[in-house]
Amino acid sequence: MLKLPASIRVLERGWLSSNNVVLTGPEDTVLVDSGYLTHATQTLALVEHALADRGGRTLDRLVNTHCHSDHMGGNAALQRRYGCHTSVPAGEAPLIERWDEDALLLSYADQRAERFRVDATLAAGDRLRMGGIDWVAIAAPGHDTHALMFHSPEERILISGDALWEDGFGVLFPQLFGREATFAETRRTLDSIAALDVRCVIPGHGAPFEEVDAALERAYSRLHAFEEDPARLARHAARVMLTFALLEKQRLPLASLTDYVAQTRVLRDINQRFFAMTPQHFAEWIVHELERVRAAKREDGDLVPLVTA
Amino acid sequence: MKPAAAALDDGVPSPCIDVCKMNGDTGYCEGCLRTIGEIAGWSTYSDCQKRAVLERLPARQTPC
Ligand SMILES: [Zn+2]
Repeated sequence: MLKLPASIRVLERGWLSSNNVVLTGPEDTVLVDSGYLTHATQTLALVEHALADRGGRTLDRLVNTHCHSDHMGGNAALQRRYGCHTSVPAGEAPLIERWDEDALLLSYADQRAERFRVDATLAAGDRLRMGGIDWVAIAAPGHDTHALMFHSPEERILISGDALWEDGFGVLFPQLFGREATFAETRRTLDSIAALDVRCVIPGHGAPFEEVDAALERAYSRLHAFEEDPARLARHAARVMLTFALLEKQRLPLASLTDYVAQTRVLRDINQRFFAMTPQHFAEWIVHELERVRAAKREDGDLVPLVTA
Repeated sequence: MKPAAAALDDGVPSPCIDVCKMNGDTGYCEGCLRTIGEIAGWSTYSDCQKRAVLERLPARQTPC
């Protein structure tokens, strides 16, 4: 079992919700990332539970590694409950201020979040105090161009968001939408993690882990495979987007999928740019892929998620 | 975000299936059947404690 300082509690969630990190310091309490909208009630209960363990304190601050639906979906509910001061990466603040549903991959990707208030912004190089520990914000472009990670040199811990998981990283969306620098940016992000002194990574999804070098190696080789064949990234993204929808809805009638992939703009755009299949063919292909990777199965005319437990 | 995939490490995988809604009557998550304390504490548990939680779950299934 991995040992973290007592002031850090990782609320390990699934894939629809990112992990939430509760940091309780002598000065104040902070939460990093808030999960998905439809899980907000459980997020509130988990945060309350974690704070009760630390003497029943309030939540003073909320920080987001990046503003995707699975990381900011509980922000509004937490603000209502605690009035917590909320910081987002500087590059995302304008998108939040004008609630740009396309740039935030919300309605564009058939995902949801509730609008919230931004009190402050964070930029690479900023120093933060969370859980009685000093952290430095590190730029993490790739999966999200404006994303940040938080590194504690003293504890040698990295809160990596979706820039590095134990097995991979978040979908490189900007590349899919034409940001050609994305592969190079992702490589620089991995390089900057490799240059940090890190004994433990708290990822945005999955359990905290210590085998950082092995995770980096897997991430580099995945990146390399995407660079060699960008269509591979598109196939991966299509699988992830439909899995996300399936996890949110828990079942989708197979008969509805042709319309779903034709009408959900992120899937329509990926198909147009990389595959140019008919919607029906594209839908059949994704279902086949999800069955192949055991992310879903057919049941009574529906597609249902198969989360490996 | 990431599609469902088996945990990479040999550790005990979380039983979360992304339903993540507490049942007010039973006090268990409607997806994974853990209590809020078991979910909040999961990342602090040893593999042995995690397995003990997993073993308690089947008995919590409501008979239909
Ligand atoms: Zn993300």
